[in-house]
Amino acid sequence: MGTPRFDPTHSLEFNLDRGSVKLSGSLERVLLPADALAALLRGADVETRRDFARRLGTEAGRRVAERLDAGASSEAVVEHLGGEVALMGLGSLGVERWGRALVVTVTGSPLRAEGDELLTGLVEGALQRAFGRNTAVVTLGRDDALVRLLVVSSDTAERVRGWLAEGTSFGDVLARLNGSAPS
Amino acid sequence: MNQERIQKLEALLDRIRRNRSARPSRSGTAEPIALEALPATSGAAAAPHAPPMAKPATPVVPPVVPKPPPHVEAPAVSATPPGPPVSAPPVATPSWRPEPGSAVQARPTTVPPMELSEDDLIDVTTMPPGPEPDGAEAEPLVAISAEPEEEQPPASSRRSRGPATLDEVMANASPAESEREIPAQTPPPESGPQEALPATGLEAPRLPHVEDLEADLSGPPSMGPTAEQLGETIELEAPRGPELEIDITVSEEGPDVPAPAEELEVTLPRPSLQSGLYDVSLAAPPSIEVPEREVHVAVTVPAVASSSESPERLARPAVGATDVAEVRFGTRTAEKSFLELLDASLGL
Repeated sequence: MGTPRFDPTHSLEFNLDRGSVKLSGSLERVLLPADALAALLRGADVETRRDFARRLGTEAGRRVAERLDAGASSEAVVEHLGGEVALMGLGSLGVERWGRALVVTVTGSPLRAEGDELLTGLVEGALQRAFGRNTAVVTLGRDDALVRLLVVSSDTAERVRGWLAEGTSFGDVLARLNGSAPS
Repeated sequence: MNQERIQKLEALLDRIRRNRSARPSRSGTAEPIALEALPATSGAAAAPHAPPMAKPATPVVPPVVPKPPPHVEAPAVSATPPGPPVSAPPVATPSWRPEPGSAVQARPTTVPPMELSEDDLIDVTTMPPGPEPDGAEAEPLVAISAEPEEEQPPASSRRSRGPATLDEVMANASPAESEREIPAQTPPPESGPQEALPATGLEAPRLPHVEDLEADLSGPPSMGPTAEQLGETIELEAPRGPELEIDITVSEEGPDVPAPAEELEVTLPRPSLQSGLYDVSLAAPPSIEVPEREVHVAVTVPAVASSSESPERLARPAVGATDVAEVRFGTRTAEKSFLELLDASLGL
């Protein structure tokens, strides 16, 4: 059985009489300005921001899990999970493989660097809801448009953050991870 | 008809004579010039100086000479007063009576005009002063012009004038439509009644030839189209050759007769042959007879040098169409699911 394609047709519903917006039949949504959301996140504490981001990821992972099974390919996951992130208006999602390390990329986030923490929590919540894995996502690096998020375990994430704090580039971090990992 | 016409003309001539004789009496002059030459045609008209006396004579009014326009020369009229009225002797002339149908309607002389207008003076020309006769006192010579060529062309059309002689009357009486004098201009209303003349310059309506039309109608009834309507008729020749008949009988062939070979059946060329070649071993279909002909072709062979001097050339045999390139896709490694990749990354 092939993997179904992501079909965003009529995913977003605007009810002008009621003044409501719904996404794929879920709860009502609110269209907010990106800078207003960024300002709100700046004012919130770390746990609130983390919890907010994971709630967004959990909802996206639920819709992906409805369409994909456990053996879905990377392309299928990127297509469907990336479709959900795009419907939120948070950018274009991709996946990179650096050896054994799995890196998720997001391009064109309207929140820019201020939204990287939101994206890391979103990916953690989506993977946990879609595949039942507790992951830790670490921001490896970013440029003007693209941000790389490393998906590792919680212990590995602490080491990576240490290396990054020391000024190690994300390439060296990935090399160290692949070099230290038992083959 | 001619007698009546002659009588009319004679009556007209009499009127003319009376009119001429009456003018000198009014003007007071004594010598009419043109009347002397008129021949006497009848006894009644023989009295040359017999003015009509049907009515009592009115006092003679001196001619009123209007002041001429500046561009017209004044007529040479003397200022001598008219003489005393001359009582004319009564003459037994027939009174004037209107003639119906007359083209020339003369003015009755019994009613002289009280005043002379320019139209009346147009017909009166003044003779140029010639040699005085016998040393007499210079008197104006007023005469009635009998020759229209000597008159000055008036501004308007001329008044109708009576003929001077009988010949002229007879000439005028001839019904020659083309000889009628047609005024060049439209006559002014004060010029009196004019005879309606046929318009010139316009083509007269053509009258149909009634005789020809009647001749056509009187012909025999048409029994069909005429030769002119049909045109030239060409008779076709009789058909040549044998007569063709349609054979509607159906011939039933016996079942033993083999069916003829289908002409559209063609043996496909063998794949070993190149494109454009054919298999010479194929036999022609039985329906085609191939005559065996001997072909003699004259070929001029050039002189060839000895084989030791020219290189021996070997041509590469033609290679048939075949798939030269072969593409082999690389064997893809076993596709791992996203979950396996995730677990591998989590194992770091």
